[in-house]
Amino acid sequence: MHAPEAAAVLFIIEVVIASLAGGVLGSIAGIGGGVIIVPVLTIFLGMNIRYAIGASIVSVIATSSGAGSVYVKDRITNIRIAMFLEVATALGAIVGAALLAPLLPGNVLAVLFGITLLVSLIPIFRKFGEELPEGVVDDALARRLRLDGSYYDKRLGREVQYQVTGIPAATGYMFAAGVISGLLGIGAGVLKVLAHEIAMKVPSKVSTATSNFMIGVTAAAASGVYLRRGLVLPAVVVPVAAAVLVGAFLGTKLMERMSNNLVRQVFAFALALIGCQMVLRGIGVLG
Amino acid sequence: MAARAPKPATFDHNGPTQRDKIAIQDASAYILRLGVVISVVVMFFGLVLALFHNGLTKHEILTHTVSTDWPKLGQSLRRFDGFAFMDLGVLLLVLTPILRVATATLLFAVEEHDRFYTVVTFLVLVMTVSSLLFIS
Repeated sequence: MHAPEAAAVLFIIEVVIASLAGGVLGSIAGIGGGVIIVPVLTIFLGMNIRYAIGASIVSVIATSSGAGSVYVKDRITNIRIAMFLEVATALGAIVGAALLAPLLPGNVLAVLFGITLLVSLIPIFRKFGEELPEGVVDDALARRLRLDGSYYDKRLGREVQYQVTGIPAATGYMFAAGVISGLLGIGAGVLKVLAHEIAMKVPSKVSTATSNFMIGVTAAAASGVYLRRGLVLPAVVVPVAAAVLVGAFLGTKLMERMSNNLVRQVFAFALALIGCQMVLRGIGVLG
Repeated sequence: MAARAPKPATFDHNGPTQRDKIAIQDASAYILRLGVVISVVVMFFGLVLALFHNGLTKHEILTHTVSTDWPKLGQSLRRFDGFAFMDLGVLLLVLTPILRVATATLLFAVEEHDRFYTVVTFLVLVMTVSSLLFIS
């Protein structure tokens, strides 16, 4: 038996508190954990951004799988869409992690990160897509791939049938989402949801469920590269993954009590400040 | 932990003699949940072990990266090295979605007899496995 070093215990406590706060903040604002964890680890704990990205991409697997498993069991996830588009996101993730990430200096990653965080916040202020899109006709590819589907909507109390369109555009969006995932160590869930709702015009519940399901595979494809590169610090991943899971759960519970768009917008504003700080640090305005 | 078998699909009407298909949705949900729980438990055990058995230092936290040298990992596990368990936990977590894809490939081939989606999921499987084994 050896006693742990006090600095080590303190550091882990700091990581837990920061990740917990990140998980709560992210789930209240409606965006995933990764996009918060990286700035938190770099800005508040002074970690090198590449290690922060490595820790984040592995934790994303844990957070997305939890929600992903519930939606897929409830048959809200469209698994054919997910499996088909996973080819594009997994390829994108490998390109982003293996080819692009090593080329870009840390401060460029920070700027890209800040911009991505700011873009992720847009849907909070402006709703994209429709809750239940009307008049969508399957395109030729969607018909060939049998991508149309149905799910039981608990709020409406009925089975909702939907058609799917815009597969080529969605495949492009998904590749891009995969690249960003691999490059920045995030799930890029917001981009995936936008691809589902804007390009394919699937109902928003299906798009959330399906992108959650795909994030695990995207993150796993990128994680393999980060593991082999030696950028994953397990003693950071463990407290981050556990605390973000708990934080996201607490955030969801809090949200149920204060289901108010204003609250979300206040939190989103706080995240926007973090996004701006990442950009400013990246371009050297802030230390 | 009691292993819950995936619930078979009930919408299969091939007659009473044929067993129900295993639904890809149920198998996926089961693998994701089990994988995350097991890996988080193993990782957490590793962290506790590293803290109180090995005497963890901040320097180690910020420098020890996951080892991809699998034979060496086995030896370290037997020595009850906390980092070896954390490494194993991280590896199990990364393998969880990969196993979910492998299962889907198998079910599309064997249960659904759907050649197109068997190939699609197999492609995803090849990419994720090679990122873990070859690409860096």
